[in-house]
Amino acid sequence: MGSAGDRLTADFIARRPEGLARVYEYYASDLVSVARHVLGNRGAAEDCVHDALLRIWRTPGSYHPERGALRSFLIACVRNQAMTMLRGSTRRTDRERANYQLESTAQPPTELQIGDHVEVARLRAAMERLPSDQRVALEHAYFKNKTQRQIADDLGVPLGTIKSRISHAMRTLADELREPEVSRS
Amino acid sequence: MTDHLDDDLELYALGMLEPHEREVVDAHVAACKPCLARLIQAEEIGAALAGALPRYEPSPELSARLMGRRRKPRVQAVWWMGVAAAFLLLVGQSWRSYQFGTALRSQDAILATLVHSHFDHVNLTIAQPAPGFGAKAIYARDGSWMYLIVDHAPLSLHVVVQSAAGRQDLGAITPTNGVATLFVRPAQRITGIELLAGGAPAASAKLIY
Repeated sequence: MGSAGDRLTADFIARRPEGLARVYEYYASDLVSVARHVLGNRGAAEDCVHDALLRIWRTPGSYHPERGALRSFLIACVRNQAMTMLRGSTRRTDRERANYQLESTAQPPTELQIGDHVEVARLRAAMERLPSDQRVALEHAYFKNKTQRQIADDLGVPLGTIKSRISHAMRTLADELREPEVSRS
Repeated sequence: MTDHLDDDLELYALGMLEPHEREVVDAHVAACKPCLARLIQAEEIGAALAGALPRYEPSPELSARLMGRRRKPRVQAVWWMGVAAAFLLLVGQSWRSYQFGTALRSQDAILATLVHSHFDHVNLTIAQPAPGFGAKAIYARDGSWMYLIVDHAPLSLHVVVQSAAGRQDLGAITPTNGVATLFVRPAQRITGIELLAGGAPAASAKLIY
């Protein structure tokens, strides 16, 4: 992380107002995109990002540099918050659930979007190399936002097997993306 | 610690655990570096997956909601309400050493004054650092007015100004939602400003014309 990133992190940890403002400037689009992918509409997604960011901001010690990169940490927090909201909505009435899923059901993203980002291209290639059962489990988990139980039911395999496939897929991707990229001409 | 977590670390990073299950992971990784390293690695993959999602920009309302709770926006109507409140407070303090010209009885009049002025600004040098504490003075180039903004102001902050008339204590200003403001029209232009917290210098600046 460069010095600008270090300053951003330090300002955020110290709970300086400029820290929150710069985190928002740098990461709001990422966070809103993550929440909206899960919750489907802008209002719920922004409520989610608002609540997650303020909770982290207001809780001393909730983030520290040893916890990993700030961006990854925030994305995980927002994803967790959004998934909790979604699971909660599925436990309420169908009418309430429709409020959360109105837009996502209209256009469910089920596979990686092709982007010009190098990491996205590498990620897509790495996912294509995964064993198919692991890739399918991970796609159900991340891109279809399904619970462990839903995936197990959909695929007709035991819950423990689903957990194991998802975990292995994530670890394999981490190993692959840790390898230096080789440019070819 | 020898017992490490299994699949839950990756499931945590994907948002697939219930809150009570996440608490177990949080407690574990706080004391287990290998598991923390695996969780960080999984969250990095989660962030990479996020990079592949369709992009959405946040609405202006989200920024206003978040930042409004921490600090006032730079140019917003509520900003001027604070000015008006501070002004009325100052009027009520029987401040004898400075003569007000035309009384500004509405925030619109104060706003109009600034809009139709040429002004400079200076950040006050902080003598008592505190999280978020900062102050800026905006002042008319002809010295006809000065507007002070203090972010994360300590309680009971006294404002002292310097002019050809000498050193004058303008009294205390009170923060609203962490921001204190003061608008003054001095009889003689202000050349220096000092903030006192608990009687000790907290911030100061010279106003250069």
